[in-house]
Amino acid sequence: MRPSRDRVRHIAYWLTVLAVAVILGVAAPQFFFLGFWEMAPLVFAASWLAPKVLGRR
Amino acid sequence: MSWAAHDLEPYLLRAKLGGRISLVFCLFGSYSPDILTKWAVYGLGWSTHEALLSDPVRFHRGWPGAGFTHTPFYGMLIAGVILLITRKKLWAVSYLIGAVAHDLSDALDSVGIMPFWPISDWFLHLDLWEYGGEIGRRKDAVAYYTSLGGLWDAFWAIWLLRYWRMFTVTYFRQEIVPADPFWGWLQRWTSETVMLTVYRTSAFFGYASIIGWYIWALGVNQFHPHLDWTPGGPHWLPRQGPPD
Repeated sequence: MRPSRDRVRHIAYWLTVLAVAVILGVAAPQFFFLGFWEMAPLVFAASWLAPKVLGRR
Repeated sequence: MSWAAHDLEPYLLRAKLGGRISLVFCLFGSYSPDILTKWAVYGLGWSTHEALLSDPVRFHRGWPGAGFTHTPFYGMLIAGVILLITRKKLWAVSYLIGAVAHDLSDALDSVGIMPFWPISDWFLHLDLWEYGGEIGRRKDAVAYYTSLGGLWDAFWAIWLLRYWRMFTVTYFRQEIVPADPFWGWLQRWTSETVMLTVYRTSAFFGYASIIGWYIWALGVNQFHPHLDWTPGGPHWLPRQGPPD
């Protein structure tokens, strides 16, 4: 039971981060959708926050 | 030209070929043909398009021009330089595979690439979608994501979903880091969070940009916001074949 709950939490977390990225990009594609490097700060923040939000890695 | 396919193809290749591929060098190869040229092809500006070149198509894909960057010969040349400098066959081969994957994706548009350059300047172009580099980034985003080009990106994104486990920390630690000396080198200089950022960013960008560009092209943008999935589309774009 526990592994599947953990998996759902991880999936929900990363889908939320993806939704943030999509919203930012749709609002200002010229700043977020022209190259992979534009997403690096968000991916860094999300990777750093993940163990804090989800409890463990 | 292709958009997010160049970000996602290396991950699929890594998933399929395993430790025989260095993801970072495959990504480097996949980005390499456009690194020095694409900004000039598109010109300056977003809302307004200010051209920088008189013939951006020839510059991007042709010869004389920088079209040699979209040839297997160029991939082999740079792979040879990587092998010479690093003595790591894994990195050189991964670069070459990434570069050739980029060439093959770009061969699907109406301009195509020169697969046999420098022996021949014949163009391989399969005309699945219209090349739109000369109209600027904004209009090309509309053209690409309303044509079969957008589906090409989505194809890679959907296929890669099967391998979602490769983006977990456990997979990164157990499968990715031990298989490629690049990560050992990077580990000496930085934290695991930075390494994970390097590892994940291109895939994350691929997914976010495909979803976002579709929403933007069809729901926000006012310029031809309609899908055209017929071969050679979108048909509002003037026909652009290989340079003469």
